Amino acid sequence: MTTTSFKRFALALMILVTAPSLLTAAHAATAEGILEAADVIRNPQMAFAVDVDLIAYEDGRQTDSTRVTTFSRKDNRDGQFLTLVHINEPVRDEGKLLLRDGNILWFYDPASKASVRMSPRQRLLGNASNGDVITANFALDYTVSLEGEEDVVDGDRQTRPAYRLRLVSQSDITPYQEILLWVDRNNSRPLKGQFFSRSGRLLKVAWYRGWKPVLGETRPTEVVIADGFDPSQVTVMRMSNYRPEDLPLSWFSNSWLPRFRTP
Amino acid sequence: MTFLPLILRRFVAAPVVICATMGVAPPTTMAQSGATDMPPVLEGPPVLEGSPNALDVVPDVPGVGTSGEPDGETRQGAGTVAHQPSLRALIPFRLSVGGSLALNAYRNPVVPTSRAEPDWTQRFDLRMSGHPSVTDRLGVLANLRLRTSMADNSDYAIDRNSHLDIQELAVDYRLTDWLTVEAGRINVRNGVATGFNPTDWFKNDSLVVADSFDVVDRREDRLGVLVAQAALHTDDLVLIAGWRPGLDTSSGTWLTDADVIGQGFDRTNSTDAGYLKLTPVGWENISSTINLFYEEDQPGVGAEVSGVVSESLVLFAEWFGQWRHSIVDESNRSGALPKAVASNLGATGQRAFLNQVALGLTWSPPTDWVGTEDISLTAEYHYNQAGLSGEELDAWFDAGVSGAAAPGALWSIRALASTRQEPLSQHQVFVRLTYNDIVDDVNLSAITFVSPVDASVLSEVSLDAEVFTNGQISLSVFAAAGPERSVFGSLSNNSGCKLSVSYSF
Repeated sequence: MTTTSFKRFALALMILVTAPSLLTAAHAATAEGILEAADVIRNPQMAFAVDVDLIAYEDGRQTDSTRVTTFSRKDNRDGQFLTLVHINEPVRDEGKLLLRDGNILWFYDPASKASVRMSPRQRLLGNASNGDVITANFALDYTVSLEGEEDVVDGDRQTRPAYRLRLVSQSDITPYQEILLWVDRNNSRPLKGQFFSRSGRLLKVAWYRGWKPVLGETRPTEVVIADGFDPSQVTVMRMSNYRPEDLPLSWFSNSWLPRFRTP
Repeated sequence: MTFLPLILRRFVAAPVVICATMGVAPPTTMAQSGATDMPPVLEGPPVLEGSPNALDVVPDVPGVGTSGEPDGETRQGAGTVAHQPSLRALIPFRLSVGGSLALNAYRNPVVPTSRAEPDWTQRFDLRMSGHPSVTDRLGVLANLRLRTSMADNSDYAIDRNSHLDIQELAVDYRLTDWLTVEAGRINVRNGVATGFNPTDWFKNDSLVVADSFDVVDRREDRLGVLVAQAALHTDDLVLIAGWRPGLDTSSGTWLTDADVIGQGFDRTNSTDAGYLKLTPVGWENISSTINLFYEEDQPGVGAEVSGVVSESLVLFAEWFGQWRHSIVDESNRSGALPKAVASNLGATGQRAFLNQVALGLTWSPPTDWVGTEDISLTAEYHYNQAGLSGEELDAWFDAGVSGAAAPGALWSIRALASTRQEPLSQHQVFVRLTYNDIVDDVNLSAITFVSPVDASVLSEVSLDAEVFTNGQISLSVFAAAGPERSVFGSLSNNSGCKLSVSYSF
């Protein structure tokens, strides 16, 4: 092999090796790419289960706590997550289930064996609402634009350079009409989000923190959610025990809910 | 915290006006919500619209930190909340204890009734329930209740006044990843409506106590049926096929009505029956189920469908048609009614294909109206072709007032409708309002049944409050109103209240 040939070969090899990362970097620079990268960090892109503690605070004082387990898998049709939420504690509510399949929301009470069809609006009820514990990739439900780059104070009160993204709902049934999302410019981690109603009211502000290795990625294990209507109301979502799960598609049907057992 | 409409058992909806929340222009204030360094804004009046400094810094609440912590795959790692010790951690079933005191008021109905009912009743319950896994494939379903009750003008004897209800006791086994079989006593329950479920085949004669007019509450107090069923589940559908064996039972045994241990299988398993239930999976927005039911000489077919119309509105419908007797014909099998009266009440003595329908909507007020308040309204129309028309109701009152038929025979028609958990009248409207966390952890629920043919109503209002972590105290009040010759205005027990407490372990 001549020197020239070797150089050409080396150049071709370098292009082959680096092309995917170059393409990824180029993609990541777009609003869509930034959002998709943040989605991949927020949620494991596999079928998984996670225990979630929801701790409510009022004026900095803990007032309540709930423990749930969420089971999530991607829908083969559109790639969005299907989610089943099982209440573990308090004991009086143990076994109640919330099912989300796109626009379809069911609430199941094992005491009455009743499945109640919910409206999308009811995802928003409460401080840490049903919508917050439901796994979702924002990129599939919202159109996104990059509004600029600015420093933001993250959940650990550290100032970080961030992209500011504006997400606008693509349908009438997303839990929020618009989201402002700040994503770390250095590593695509979501740092903070502001969530707005259809009339433009700020419903919630969320900070992502507690970064830990989870299922192959460093992910937030804690989300601090302040109520936009009453900022003294704060809920902390703490995630633990992430694990991959084999979750059949048929689990995400209201007919399956009476058969659900915690694995 | 109102995570999940926890008391969504009481649900709701009502008409209209959702469009107000749709298509609103994006907020101009959002761009002002900058991300600058500002002090925490967790005190003072609610902020927000147009406020550039709102909630810019994370509130000061305990956190898990970012370094030196276990990874997020670790169970009970740092950052999990400290939970109160509970018996529940030691046993696979939930235990609960409860007690209730009910007071009732009566009036003399226009059609006299000789039935003597107590002014007060009191009951204590101990319940064990749950659906734990024994192995990955094997599960156990149990819902057992031991209850004892007392009433005024009635001597208490523990063997007569106490009862063990095996409401559910079954096993399920996952034969394959797509096939599960179940056998035992199971509360097989169908339907999407909340005030009346035409497709809920096994509700007939299933109640062990009737503490409430709320159908949702009543479902918690009914006996399951002894069945064997298989659930086939694929990516496209869930198909459930089941068989209810008819049991040859005699009275006085544990299978039927023996003191304390009688299980009422004569009520729940009086005949053979089979059923199929098909639910497609993955329909955009629409949920639907098709039902087939077979009982000797009484086959039936039904369906339910629900769909989202807007962010705040869900519509649903449920239908069941069956070859069967009307309520009057079934009640009059012994011929207790004079022929002329029976004829005026629509009796034919023949089975016919009779339809039952529930049409409804659930509506949640938009965020801009109520913020994150947990309010919802449900409205339903119920049609029961097996019930009495307006003219037949008039005939019922005429026969009772004139003495053309014995009151007992007439009231047995209404008792049968109650036992079958079907509307007496062919037409009925049902409304439910739910307001969770109306004050702190207090939930309000109000239901109303309306008989449109005679403008009578039956309403029940309940307040539930959480006490400690796993306790609940409830107060409910009901009243019936309307002309004396009306469905609800003619009830003997026209008002009452109930106080109950419960605690789960």
